[in-house]
Amino acid sequence: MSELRLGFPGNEKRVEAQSSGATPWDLDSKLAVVGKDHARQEAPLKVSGRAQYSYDVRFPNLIYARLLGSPHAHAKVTKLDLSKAKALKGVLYVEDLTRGGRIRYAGQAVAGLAAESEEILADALALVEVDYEVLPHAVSVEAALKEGAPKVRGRGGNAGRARIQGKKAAVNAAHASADLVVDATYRTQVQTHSCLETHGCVAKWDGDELTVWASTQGTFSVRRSLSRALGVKARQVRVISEHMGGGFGSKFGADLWDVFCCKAAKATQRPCRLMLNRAEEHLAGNRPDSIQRCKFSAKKDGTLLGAEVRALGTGGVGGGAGVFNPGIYSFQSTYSEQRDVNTHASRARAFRAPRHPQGVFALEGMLDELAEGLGIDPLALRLKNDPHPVRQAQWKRGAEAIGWSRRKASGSDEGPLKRGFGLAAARWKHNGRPGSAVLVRIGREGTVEVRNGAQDIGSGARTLLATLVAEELGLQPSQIEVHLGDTRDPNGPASGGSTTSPSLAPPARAAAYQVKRELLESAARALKVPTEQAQGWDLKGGKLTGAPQALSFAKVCALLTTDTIEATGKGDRAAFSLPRFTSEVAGCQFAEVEVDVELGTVRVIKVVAVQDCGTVVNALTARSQINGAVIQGVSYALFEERILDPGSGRQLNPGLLGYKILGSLDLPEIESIPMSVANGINPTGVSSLGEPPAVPTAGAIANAVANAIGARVRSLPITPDKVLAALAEQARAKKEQKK
Amino acid sequence: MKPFSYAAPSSYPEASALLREHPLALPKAGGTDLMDLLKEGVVEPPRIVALGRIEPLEGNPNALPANMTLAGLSDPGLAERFPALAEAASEAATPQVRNQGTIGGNLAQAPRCAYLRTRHACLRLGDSECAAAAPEAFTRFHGVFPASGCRSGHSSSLAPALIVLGAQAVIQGPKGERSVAVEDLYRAPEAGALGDTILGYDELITRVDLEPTPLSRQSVYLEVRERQTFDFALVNLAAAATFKGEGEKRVIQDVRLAAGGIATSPRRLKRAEAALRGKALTDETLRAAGEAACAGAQPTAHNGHKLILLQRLIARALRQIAAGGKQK
Repeated sequence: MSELRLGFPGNEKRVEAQSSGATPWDLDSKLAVVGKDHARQEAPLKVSGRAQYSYDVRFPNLIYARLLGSPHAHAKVTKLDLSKAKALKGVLYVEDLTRGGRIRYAGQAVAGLAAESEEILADALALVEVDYEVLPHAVSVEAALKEGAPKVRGRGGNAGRARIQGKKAAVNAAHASADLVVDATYRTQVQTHSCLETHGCVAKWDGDELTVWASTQGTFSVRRSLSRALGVKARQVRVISEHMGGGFGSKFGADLWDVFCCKAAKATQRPCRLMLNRAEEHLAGNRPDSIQRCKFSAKKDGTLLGAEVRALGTGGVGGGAGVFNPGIYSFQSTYSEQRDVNTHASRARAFRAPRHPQGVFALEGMLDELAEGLGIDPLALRLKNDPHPVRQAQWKRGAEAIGWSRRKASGSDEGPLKRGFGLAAARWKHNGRPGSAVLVRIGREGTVEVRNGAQDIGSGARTLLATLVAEELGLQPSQIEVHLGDTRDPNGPASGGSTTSPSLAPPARAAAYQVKRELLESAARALKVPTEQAQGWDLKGGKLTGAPQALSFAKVCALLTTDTIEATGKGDRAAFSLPRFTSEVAGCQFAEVEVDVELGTVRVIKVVAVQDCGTVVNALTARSQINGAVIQGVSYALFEERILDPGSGRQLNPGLLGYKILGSLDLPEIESIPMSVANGINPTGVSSLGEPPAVPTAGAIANAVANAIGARVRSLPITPDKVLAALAEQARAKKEQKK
Repeated sequence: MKPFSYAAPSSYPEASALLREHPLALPKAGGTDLMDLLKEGVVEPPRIVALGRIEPLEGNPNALPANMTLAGLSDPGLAERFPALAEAASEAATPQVRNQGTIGGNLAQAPRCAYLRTRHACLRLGDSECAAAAPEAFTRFHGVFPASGCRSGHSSSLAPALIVLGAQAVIQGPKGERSVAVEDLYRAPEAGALGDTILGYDELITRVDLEPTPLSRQSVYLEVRERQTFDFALVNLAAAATFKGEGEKRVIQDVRLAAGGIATSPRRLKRAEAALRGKALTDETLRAAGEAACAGAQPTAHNGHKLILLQRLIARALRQIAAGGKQK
C-alpha cells in the first residue's frame, strides 16, 4: 500500500493505492525529464523530407492500382464489362467489385484495376464499360425524410430508431418551473477527414508472406482485417507504418482498396501501390452533419433546469450521427432523442472526438443564449453549473489568458469591425486501455532501445515513450532509440479514442523499471556486492546512485555479461486500476474574434486552450497536439463543408480549392496550456489528449461571433452569407419590436 | 488525360500560327488552371501551345507583358501609379500561384463554376442544359447576373482593376495586332465555348497598356472571400474616383467602377457611376449607387448576399478613396 497525492495545487486529495513495481507518480514525484519540452525525435527527418511515409514507398517493379467509382448516387449496375480495359497493354489485373450490383452513393467502387503505370491505369479506367439503371436518390436529411423518398437501405424508412435518454415528463416539469426557456435549432455540416496523406497502402508478397506499408492509425487492426479478408494467418502479414500523414478516425482497418491492392500484388507477384487521390479521399470518411432542436431552461439566478435535445443527422449509408448534447453541466433534468437518417452519401466514420464538436457547438450556444437572456456573464453561468473540479480551475486560468474582462455587451462595439469573446468546454474519458506491451532493451554499449508495434499517429509517440523510459533510467530522451509502427514488435493499441499515450505509458514505464532492476542486479554481481544491496540503488542524472561507486550509466551497462538485457512491460488490467482524481478529462477554450459586420467576414484573433491530460509527459508535443486540434476546430467552425449536389448526388467541391481547409492566413494566435493533473489511474498518470481539445473550438468561436455582432449564427460553418443573414434577421426583429 | 501534341514557340505570331492549325488547340501560359482542367478531363485539346518561351517585352513601364506573373505586379512604382492593380494582384490566390500565373491567363481564365469543374451538365461544354440552373442547385459562389443561360461568376482579380484603369489589351492574331479596351475584351457566354473573351481561337493577349492619370492614382481594389488563404472572391470591386470642391461642396468629379464574381464576365458598373458623378459623397448617394449597381440582378436562394456585398464594397471603396487611399 502506498499513499498518493492526487489532483493539482489548490485542489488535492490523498488516496491509498495498492501497487507493486515502480511507485506511481503523483504530486510528490520529483521528475527530471517528464513534463519538460522535448523536440520530437523524428523532427529532423520530417522537416528535411527524409521521413518515409507509406505514400513514399516505391519499388523498382511497382505496379499501380485504383478503383473505379460510380458516377451515380443510387443505381443498379446492369452490366460491367472489363474486357476492353483488360486488353489494354500494361493492364495487369482487373476485378469486378459490384457485389450485388447496388450503388448507394456516388463514388462507390464498381471495379478495381492494376497496371504498369498510373497513366495506363487512367486510360484503362476509361475503358471499363458499365451500364447503370439510375434510381432516384436523396443526399440530405431533409430529402431523405420526405414522403416517398427513395430508400437508402433495406426495409423501413430512412430514419433509424430514436435513441432516447432521460424522461420527457421530468424535463417538461423543469421547463415549467423556469424563469427563462430558450428554444432554438442548431445545424452542423459534414466535414471530411481529408488526411494530408490520403488513405491507402503499398503491398508486397514474398511467397505466402505479405508486407503492407499502410497509412493507418492501427497497424494491428490492419493486420487483423487483412488476414481475414485474404484468408491468411495474421502471422503471415506484416504491417508497417513508419510515419503517418494524418489520421482522425477513418484509418483503422484495411479498406476495400487495401484488400484489392493486396490481391493485385498477389495475382501479379509484384509490389502494388494504391493510394487514394484527393477526390476519392473525401469518400473515405466524414463527420456526420446534425440538426439539433434544443430547448433549455434556467432560473433567474442561473441555475440550469431542463435540457431537451431532438437531433437528426446523416452518416450517409452508415450510422454514427449522434451528438454529445446535452452534457457537461449539471442540469436538473435532461431529455435527448436522436436519430440517424440514411442518405445516398458515403459512410461516416469516427472523426476526432466523434459526436462532440457538433454537440458542444449547440450546447454551448444554448448556454450563451440563456446567459444573454438572463443578463448573466457566460463565464459566471459556467462556473455556477460546472461540476468538474479541474474545469473550475481551467475556466479561471483561460479567462485570464484571453482577457475575458475585455468582453463587452453583445454587438456594442462602434464601427464595422466588432470584437467578441466566447468560451466552451471540453470533456473526454480517461481512455488508457490494457492489452499493450512495450519492450525495453539495454545494450552493453549503453544503448537503450524501445519497441512497440503501434503507429505514431502524429502525437509524437516516439518522444513520449523515450521521455518515460529516460525518466525511469535517469537519462535524457535523446539517448533513447524508439521503434514504432511494425507489427513484428509487441502489441500496441489502435490510435482511436485518445488511447495511445495512456495505453503505452504504463507498460513503457514498467518495462524500463524491470530492466533497470535487472541492470542494477547485474552490476551488483559484477561489483561482487550482494544483489539485495542493489535494491537501494537507482539511476539518476546518468549515474548510479545509492551504490558505493557513482558509476556512469555507460559504465554500469559495460558490466553486463550479455550483449543485451531486456524486459517487456505489460499494460495489464492491474496497471489501470489505481484510484483516480476525476472520472473525466476536462478542458475549456476561449476565443476572441473580429467580425466585419458590413461584409460578414469572421477573423479569429486568438484561441486559448486549457487542457487536462493527466501527467504532461512532453510539454512541447502536448502543446502541439492542442494546437493541431484548435486549428482543425477553427477550420470546422469557419470553412470546411462537404457539398453534395442535390440533383446528381455528387460532390461539388472534391478538391482542396473548393473544400476549404484553414490556411496560414486564417490561423489565429493559439495559446495552448496543457494543465498537468495528478489523475492517478495508472502508475504514470498519463491520460488522453488527442481528441478533447478538438471538442470546444467551434462552440467558443460561434459564441464569440454572437458576442461581437449581437446576433447568433446557429449553423456551421460560419460563412459571410450566414453572418449577414443573422444580422438582417436581427434588424428585422428589432423593427418588429418597435412596432 | 488524352494525348496531345506540345509546342513551345518563341514568338506570338508563331504561337498564333500554331493555334490556327488546330482550332481546338489551347494556349498555356502559367498553366495554373489549365493543368487542372486537363487532369479533370474538362478540356481535351489535341495540342497545347506553351507561351513560356516567349521573351517578355521590356522597356515601357506602362506596357505590361501578358506573360508577366502576378507576383511581377508587386512593384512599388506600379502600386503608386495604379494602386488598384497592384492590390488586385497581391490578393489573388497564393504566393505559389502568383509566381506562376500570368496577366494574360488571369484575364482569359475559364469559369470557376463548380458544376462545370466537376463535369455536370454545362452549356459551355456543349451539353443541352445547365446543372447550376436547377432550383435546388448549390449557387453560393455563382453570379447574380446570368447571361446566355450561364450563371457563373467571373473570377479574375485583375480584370475589374484593369477595366477601371482604362487598360487596353493588345491582341496578336494571324493578321497582326489589334487593341481593345479590357472592358471590351469580354462577351456573353456561347454554347460549347469555355471562355468569355472575344479572342479568336488563334488569338492571344500579348500586352496590356496602361496610362497613369489622376484617376488611376486614386484607385482601390477590394474583395470579399470566405477564406483568406487561397480562395476566389465572392465579390471583388475596383474603383477609381477624383473629387472637386472643398468641404460641403466637395463632389465626385470622375468615377469608374467594375466588379467581378457577380456576372459571367467582369462588369463595369456604369449605372452606379452615373449615380455618383457630380454628387457629394453621402449615405444617400452611396445607397443610390449601390441600388443602381444591383438593378436587374437575378440572385438565387443561395447568393443574395452578393448584392449586399457589392453595395457595401462600393460604399467602402468610395469612402476609402475620399479618405486618401488604401486602408487596412
